[in-house]
Amino acid sequence: MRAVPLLIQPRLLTIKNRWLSGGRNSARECASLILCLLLMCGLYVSTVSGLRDMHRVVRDFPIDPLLPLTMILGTLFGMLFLSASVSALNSFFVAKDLDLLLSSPLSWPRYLFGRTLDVGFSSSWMLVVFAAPLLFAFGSFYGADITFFLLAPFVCVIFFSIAILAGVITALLFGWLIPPQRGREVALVLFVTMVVGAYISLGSSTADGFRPLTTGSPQRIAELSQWARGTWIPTRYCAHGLYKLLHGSTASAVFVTLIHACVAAVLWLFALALSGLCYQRAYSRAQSDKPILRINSRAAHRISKLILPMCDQTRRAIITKEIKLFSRDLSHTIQLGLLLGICFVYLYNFRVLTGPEDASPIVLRWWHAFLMVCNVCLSYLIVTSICSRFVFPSVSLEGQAFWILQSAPLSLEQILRAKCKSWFVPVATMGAVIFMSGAMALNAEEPLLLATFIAGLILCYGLVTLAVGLGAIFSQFDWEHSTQISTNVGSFVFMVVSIIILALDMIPLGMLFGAYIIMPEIAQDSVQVTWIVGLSLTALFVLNWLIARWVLTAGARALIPR
Amino acid sequence: MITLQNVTKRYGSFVAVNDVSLEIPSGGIFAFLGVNGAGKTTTIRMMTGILRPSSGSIFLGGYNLLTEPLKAKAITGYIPDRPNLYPKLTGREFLYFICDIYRIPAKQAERRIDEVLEEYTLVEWQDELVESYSHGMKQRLATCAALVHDPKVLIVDEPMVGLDPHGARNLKEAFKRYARQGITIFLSTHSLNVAEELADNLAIIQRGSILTTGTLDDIRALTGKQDEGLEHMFLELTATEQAH
Repeated sequence: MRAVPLLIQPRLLTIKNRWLSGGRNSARECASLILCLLLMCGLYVSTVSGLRDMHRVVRDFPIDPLLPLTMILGTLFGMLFLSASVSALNSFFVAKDLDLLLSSPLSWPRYLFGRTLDVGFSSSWMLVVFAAPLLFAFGSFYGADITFFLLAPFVCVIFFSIAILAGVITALLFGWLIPPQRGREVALVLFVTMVVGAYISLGSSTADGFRPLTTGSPQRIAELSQWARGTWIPTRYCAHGLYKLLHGSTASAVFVTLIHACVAAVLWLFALALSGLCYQRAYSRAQSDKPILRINSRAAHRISKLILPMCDQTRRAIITKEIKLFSRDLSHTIQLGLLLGICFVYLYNFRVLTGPEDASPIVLRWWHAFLMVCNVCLSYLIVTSICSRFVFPSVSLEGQAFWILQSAPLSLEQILRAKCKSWFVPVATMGAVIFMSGAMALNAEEPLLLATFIAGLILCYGLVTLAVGLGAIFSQFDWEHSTQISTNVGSFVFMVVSIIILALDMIPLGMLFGAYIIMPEIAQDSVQVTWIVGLSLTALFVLNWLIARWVLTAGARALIPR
Repeated sequence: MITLQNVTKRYGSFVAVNDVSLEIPSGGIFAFLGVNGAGKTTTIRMMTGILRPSSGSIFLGGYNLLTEPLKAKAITGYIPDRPNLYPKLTGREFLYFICDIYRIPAKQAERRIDEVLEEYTLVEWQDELVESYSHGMKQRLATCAALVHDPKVLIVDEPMVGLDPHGARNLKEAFKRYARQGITIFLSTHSLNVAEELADNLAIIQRGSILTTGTLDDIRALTGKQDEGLEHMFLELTATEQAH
């Protein structure tokens, strides 16, 4: 297994050199590590407190740890599978070091194993940051002994290796079955199929008996999470093993881990056979095929002038370039499809959260305000994940071609602002749809709909500038493949900072929804409504504008050549 | 046209370029020679605004690169040693992008793009993605991009790398023509025959410091070898310095 450390060595040495390089790099890495540890502590504390609250609120309907464990593990498994698929697609077909590796005397199993480890390494470190404190919180809340803390990480590693291997197999199949020049079209068809399938399946489950959620019926929460109780779900086995470990029984955990190890081994053998059968042909084709669609550069340039008539020449140039680079990159298309799928599921789920049936008017209003705030928070988190995948990497994606902008008569602020403008329109469009759909599903009144719409635009503006600014501060131009950027430390910092900003944004937004919904007498007076909406949104805008201004200045300063 | 005043670049305790001063007049070709790692590319990256000097000043066309970077960059074209371009743009789209960044009016841009693509035989490839270009074609496209906005100063780093003999010959002829048209060309190379054939003036850099500067005859006088070629003199000068 000498090849395994060999293939992982460049990555480990890069990390080591970054730490030891001194100056700004080391300080940045230290700050990121501290932030990471703080987040893990925060997650641990909030999970323990959440479990305590849940047990207090639903003590008449006790929820055993198996259910939340299954749901959490299932969500993390899905996230890891998606992330590993995209990462594997880049790692096996696009990475810059592939020529070097494929021309070296490296045996096939060693190459595949090393590459799979690389995929796992890049796609799962964030999951560790989120999963480890959750797991330890469960352990400490349910009073597990030392065996749990020693064995649970091992059980999880084996379990999540299944997701990574499944992602690698998906990428190999994709590269083999789909000609690269048809990749975008096929990705689109897959996405549409996925949406229609999700709609049909979710629609049928509603018809089968999904009822509106009521505050007076906590057991409905459990009803809604029935999917997690299905014995056919592999996550259930892992959760069961951990559940038994919580109660001091190791036999079940060992048995479950053995099953998972067998599944992983079978997947590994399948990946090995599949790659032996198809990889070299797929890789050769990916390198040699030209796109079928011939590009008419003159017509494309004229269209960009028509679409962006108000932009000045340099700004239009950067915006057009960003759009072209984005739309011609297959991995972006696939990620976009997956994220839109998540948006769809989110919006559909919100439809089932209609108002309580059997509550008093005051509870009803509180419930409504709570759901409105939830809608803004969840929509914000979805837009954050979109930004972390697409907007945050936009500066680093300039890669080795960044010299073109550096040597051009453009200031760094101009470059960053142009990037913000190119991303604001698509993100705000998508964000507005998500924010508004949630609000409409909650039957919000017109002034609240309008306020949600404007608040959504302001939040999207704040998120896009934050992503571009932090993308510049954590810029990394020497990547092997583009997905490395969205899984690096900077992307993690972006998500943490965006959550902190969300907490700040909640002050004016909470005032808005709270005052409007909970105090109905205000809703009757149009002058007061205008004042509340106006003041809250102005406060929200000022807050986001100040953050945007600071982060863009800091980003431009970080890019100044040294 | 190009002035470097006591330019120094430090990376921690390592001095990559040490107190370099040069005065290059308008028009003509200035060759910047040195062995690998002498500091040529670092000097060039400072002259194009990609790196910031630790101390000293750089003037391009009378504009201070540190205080008026946009004006200085607007009159400068740069051909890097490694043509890293946007792989997902076509050749023509890339040139449109450059024209827009340099604010060339639309009609002039169309005309200039046609001219440079014709000159560097890329017309057939103009609608293909850059990722499908060979290294030499990328180098030619980078040259097109450096010239499309009619620069007054052209900074070139190892221009012959990756070019076939025809391409290299055409580029050398083109440089002579541009110099006659009044463009100042700063040419960094370690191909001594290229420098000998093209340069009006030259400088040799060694370990970050200028060893000597002047015309070929000045250097002959300095080394006392009136009949020797540049290669012999260069090897002697740099070997002496390395022995120190």
